[in-house]
Amino acid sequence: MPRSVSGQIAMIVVVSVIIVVVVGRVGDMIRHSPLLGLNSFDTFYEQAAAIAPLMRQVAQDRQDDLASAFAGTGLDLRVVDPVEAERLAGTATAPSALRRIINWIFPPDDEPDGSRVFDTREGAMLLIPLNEASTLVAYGPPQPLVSNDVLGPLSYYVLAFATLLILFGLYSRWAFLAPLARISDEVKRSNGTEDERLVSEHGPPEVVALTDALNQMRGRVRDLLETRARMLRGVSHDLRTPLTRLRQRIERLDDEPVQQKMLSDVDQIDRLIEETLDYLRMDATGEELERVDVASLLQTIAADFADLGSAIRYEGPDHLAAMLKPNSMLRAVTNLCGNGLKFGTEVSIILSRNESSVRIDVVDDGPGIPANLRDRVLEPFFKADLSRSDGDRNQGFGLGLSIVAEIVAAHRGRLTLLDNEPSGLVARVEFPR
Amino acid sequence: MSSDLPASPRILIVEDDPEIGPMLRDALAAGGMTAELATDGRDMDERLRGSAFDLVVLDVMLPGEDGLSLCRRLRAGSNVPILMLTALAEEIDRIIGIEIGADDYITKPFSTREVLARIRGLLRRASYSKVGTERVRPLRFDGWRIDPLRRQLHDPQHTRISLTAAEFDLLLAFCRNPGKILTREELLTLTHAGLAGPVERSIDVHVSRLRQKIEADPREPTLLKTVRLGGYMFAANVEPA
Repeated sequence: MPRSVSGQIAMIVVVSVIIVVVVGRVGDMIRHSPLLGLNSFDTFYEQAAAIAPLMRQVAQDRQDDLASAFAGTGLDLRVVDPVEAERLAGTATAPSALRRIINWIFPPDDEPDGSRVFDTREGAMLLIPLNEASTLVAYGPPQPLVSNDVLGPLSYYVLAFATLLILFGLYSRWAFLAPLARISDEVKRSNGTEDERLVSEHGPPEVVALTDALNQMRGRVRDLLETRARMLRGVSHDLRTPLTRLRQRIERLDDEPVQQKMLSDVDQIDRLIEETLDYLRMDATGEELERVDVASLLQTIAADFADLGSAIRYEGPDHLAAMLKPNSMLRAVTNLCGNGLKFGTEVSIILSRNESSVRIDVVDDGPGIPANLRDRVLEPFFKADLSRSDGDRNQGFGLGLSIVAEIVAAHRGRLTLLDNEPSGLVARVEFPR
Repeated sequence: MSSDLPASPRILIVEDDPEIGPMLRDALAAGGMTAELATDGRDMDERLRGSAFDLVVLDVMLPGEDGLSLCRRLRAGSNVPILMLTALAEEIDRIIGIEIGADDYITKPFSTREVLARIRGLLRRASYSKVGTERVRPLRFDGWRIDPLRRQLHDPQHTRISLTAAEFDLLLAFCRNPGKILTREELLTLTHAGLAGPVERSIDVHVSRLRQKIEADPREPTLLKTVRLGGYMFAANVEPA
């Protein structure tokens, strides 16, 4: 198998020639086989063409005898006078459109000079003028749609053309179209962080080079993301050590009110670090899909919140198995519930499903999110209410919903924000089962 | 139950930070424990050779050999309860998992109260369960599979069932004591249930939640049976998986 495109094309041409020669030879054999009946066509005209000059040499009154002498050989002959000949020609029916087209493209050239072939209601006939006084009529000439003369050269042309067309078609599909389609599919599907590389096990060097270039770019993107994640993990890690010292020192203070305020500041800093890490972890985790009971997952989340004193309940089936990444989904729904409880007083987690997908609604009774902000709140670092950003100890970086959106996307699902009646927000997570 | 605890448990803290270590040591001492401080792996080895400890508090980030490696090494040769200190939540699965084998973890920045509570919980658990390799072996009951190391539960259809920490500890306690009547008080000490959060839930609440998840009909429990005046009994046949 040559590596270069020109080599491969040359190979296709050689292969085509071989196929044309071999298949053409086989075609010849098939055409000449008695089964196809093409030979009787040739024979008929050859015999008719041979008899006509002989008849011309025979005296007028013996022509009939000679014609009838051939009875039983497959040639049904009669000699008629010109008037009768014209009458017979007058009974000809119009040839079918298909035959006319074929005759136009491949003019019949088998018939003896001056002869006419036509269909009548009594069957096809061939008229060969013998002299001024008589015309030879041969009944029932076979009229296959295509004759050997046509088929012979034609089959080679068509075969060569079709072979080249098909081989080049398949080749371009195999070498260019399929690899390119696959590459574009994979690039579309990839979020740039997976370890897997684009594969191009075949295809010409040009396509392989494209794949390599894309692989390199993907590698650089991944390196960049990893470096960023590692750096921020390191920073966060290093922040937490002094934070621990700070916290322990605060715990030793005597002034209780000051101590409480300082502790809550420490807690807020820690939450911000955690939120950042959560967001970064999205890029890094390669959690696998597994079969998980979503109902128990949501019940667990509800129970954990309820144990912290929140008003939260789960509604839905006792069990519902689905394919998901349990830790990621746990984080997503926990984030949604945390949001709901931050802005509302009561949260319900409602689980339902249909034939193809699972739906988790996290419903709160807070103020909701105005429709014009719903897309923007999914962006990282966006905060719906800027005036609240200072002084509110519960305020995070605004990464929560972006984290959820990314997790849901990783499940090939969708996060939509809807209005709750009479007030509040419905955060709807839907993903295929 | 506190009678099962050593009068003054000996705790070894392995922490390199010049302030966190001593402050933690003082806090534990104030909590009635005898605490010693090691600043790296070599120091830890020396102190462990010198005397026995009831529990080791191990920081993940250490100079030289890191905490994860020390924990793995420690676990290979001893059953001493290990509490890990980590700044990264994503390390938790590994720490508690089969790979590292710590008994519990606490994330920085921690409060002294939390550390004390975790240490007491670990000591209590250690005094109850005969610590050994069977402690970590997965168990099977009625088609279900529970893996204490990965803290995972799978139903007979191999679907992962999610449990709260308290529910998991409770189920594990039942699985280790099948056919035995366990009083509410015993169950409380065997589980994290007592430290779950500001809202104290009774064992009954956790049991009822657990039934929701593992019983075919939670109102007619066949696995987790209530024993009148006694407590609960796990009626399933438990065998190593």
